[in-house]
This record gives sequence, C-alpha cells and structure tokens, in this order.
Amino acid sequence: MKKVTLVLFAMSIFGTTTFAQIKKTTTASVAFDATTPTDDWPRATNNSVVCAINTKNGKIEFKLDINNFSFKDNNAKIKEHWLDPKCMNGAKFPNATFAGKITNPKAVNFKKDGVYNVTVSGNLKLHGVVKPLSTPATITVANGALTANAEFTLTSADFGVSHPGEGGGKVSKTPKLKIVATLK
Amino acid sequence: MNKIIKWFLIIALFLGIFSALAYWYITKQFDNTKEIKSNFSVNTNIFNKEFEENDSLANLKYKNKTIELTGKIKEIKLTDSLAVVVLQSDSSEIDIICDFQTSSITEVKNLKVDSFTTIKGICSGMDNTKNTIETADDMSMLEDDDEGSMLDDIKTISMIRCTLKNYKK
Repeated sequence: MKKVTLVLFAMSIFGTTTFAQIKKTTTASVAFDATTPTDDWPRATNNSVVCAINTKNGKIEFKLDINNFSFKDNNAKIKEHWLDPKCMNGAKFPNATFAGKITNPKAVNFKKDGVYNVTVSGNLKLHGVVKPLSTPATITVANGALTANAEFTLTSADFGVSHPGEGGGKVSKTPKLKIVATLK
Repeated sequence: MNKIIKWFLIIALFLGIFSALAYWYITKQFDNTKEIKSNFSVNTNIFNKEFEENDSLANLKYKNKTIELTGKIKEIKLTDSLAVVVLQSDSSEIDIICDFQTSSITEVKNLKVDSFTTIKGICSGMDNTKNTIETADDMSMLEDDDEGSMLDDIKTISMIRCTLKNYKK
C-alpha cells in the first residue's frame, strides 16, 4: 500500500513538473511602429497574441492575427490600408508566426527570480514569407511567471510588403516591433 | 489688384476645404462600439460550443459581427494604455480574448476575476489554421524538432474594439 502511495505521489510530482515546463499566454502584446518624422499615424498594437515558452529546451513560439491590430486613435482608414491586398493582405495571410529557441538557455534560471539577457533565434513568417530572425531579449522571472521582452526592426521588402506611403516618407520601410509576453 | 485678391481668396478657400476633407478621410475612426447595434447576444457556453462543434460554420456566423457576450472572467490585463479581458465557459478550453477600445479602457478597472460580465465587441473569429513550424531555406535549426507546435492545444476566439455592455460611471 505504501509503495502504491509512493508511486502515485511520484507520478503527481512528475505530472506537475511536466505541466509547468511549458509556460503560455493568450494575451501577449505586439506593438508595431512604422512612424516617420513626417507621420505619426502608422503604429498599432495587437493584444491577443498567443505565445508559449518551453523552459526545458528554450523553445519559443508565438502567433498573431494580422486583423487584430488596433491603430492609433482607433483609426479605420490606416487599418483598411494595412489589411489591403497591396499591403499585409490580411485576408490571404491572416497570421504571423515565430518559432525559435533561446540560443543560450543556460543563461536563464527559470526557477529563480531575476532578469536574464538572452538571444532568441528562429523563423518569422509574415505575409506568407519565412525569414530567419535573431534578436536580443530579456526574460524576467518573478513569482513563477515569466515576462519576455524583445524589440527589433524588420525590413518590409524582405517579406514582400510594400506601401505607397513608403515612397513619400510617410511609412517607415523598417518598422519596429516590440513584444511583451507574460507567461504562466 | 482686387481681381488678384479675389482669386487668391477663392484658391485659399478651395485649398482649405480640400485639406479639411483630406484630414477627415485620413483620421476617420471606427464607430464607438457602444453606438453599434448588436447582431447577436449570447453566453460563452453556447458561443464556445458552436465553435467546438463546427468552427468554420461558427466563423461564418460570427466573424466581423457585433456581439454581446456574457460569461465568467478568467483573466484581466490592465495598464494605462490597454485592457484585455479573457472570458471562459463552463466546459470548454477555448479562451475568448476581448481587447478593449481605447475609450473603454477605464471601464475594466472594477471588474474581478471569476465574476460574470457582458462584453460587447467585434468578433474576429477563431483561428483554425494548423500550427506548423515554418523553416526558412537557410535556417535549419528546427528541422530536427519533431515535437510539433506548443500552440496546438491553445484555442482562442478574438473580440476587438470591446466595451462593457452595462457600464455606468
């Protein structure tokens, strides 16, 4: 009887550990900023980004719906341009995804509170085009939750995205993306 | 001389009207969700069940429609610049992510997790595309990874430009 209890106890501990290994969220935020000195309008946020981190092997994934971006001042016209077939083509390419890994996972002690600097490398799929991406990021561990922060710049042309405003200097050709995800 | 001034004033007037119209066109906002007539009023149990039974059909029915959704609050994310409320149902694992419009952010501050509320917003539907690990031609670091996607068991339905249905200041 004692052996059975011990086995059940060990199984429950193993199960709990396995479950906690992958941290997830459905409310990560991605901020997009293609503003220029002459135009402050093309910036938007998406707060329903799905993200997961495997604390054992450092694997990271996120996925967002292009249609869920909200532009500055709830602007309807810029969002219409954003989703247009000539720009992001939200109907044909509704999702952007990233799958990668923390290249230095040993730099993070996921069980100890602290702020850890890491490098994340992987593949970003945007507008139907997959490109490698490597960026510095920070992971903050606090009370069992992880907060991942990353900020990087993309070149729109690399993903086959162009906007008429780029030529007039109203939309940046190298927009910045900022990601904040708190995972539990 | 008077003729020149007259033409100058006419051109200035046209330029002024053109600029005002252009500014109105460029800065046009989405309608406040509070002012939009709802297409559906439903609770999260029925809503999620419809998506579980046939997500394609439910997307056809609800996507881009204005919905009043009543359900239990699973999670609240609130800062000065954003408010997101996650609604859940009794038996489904689907999270309904409600991203609030800027003018309604302060409405969220009195909400509590595990309480019930009614949120009105525009449904973006459920993402039913398969999660695949995409690999660039010149990036093979994930090719040997056969674990599949960690996102496969996460199901969400998105609502955007949300507001509280019965909010009173």
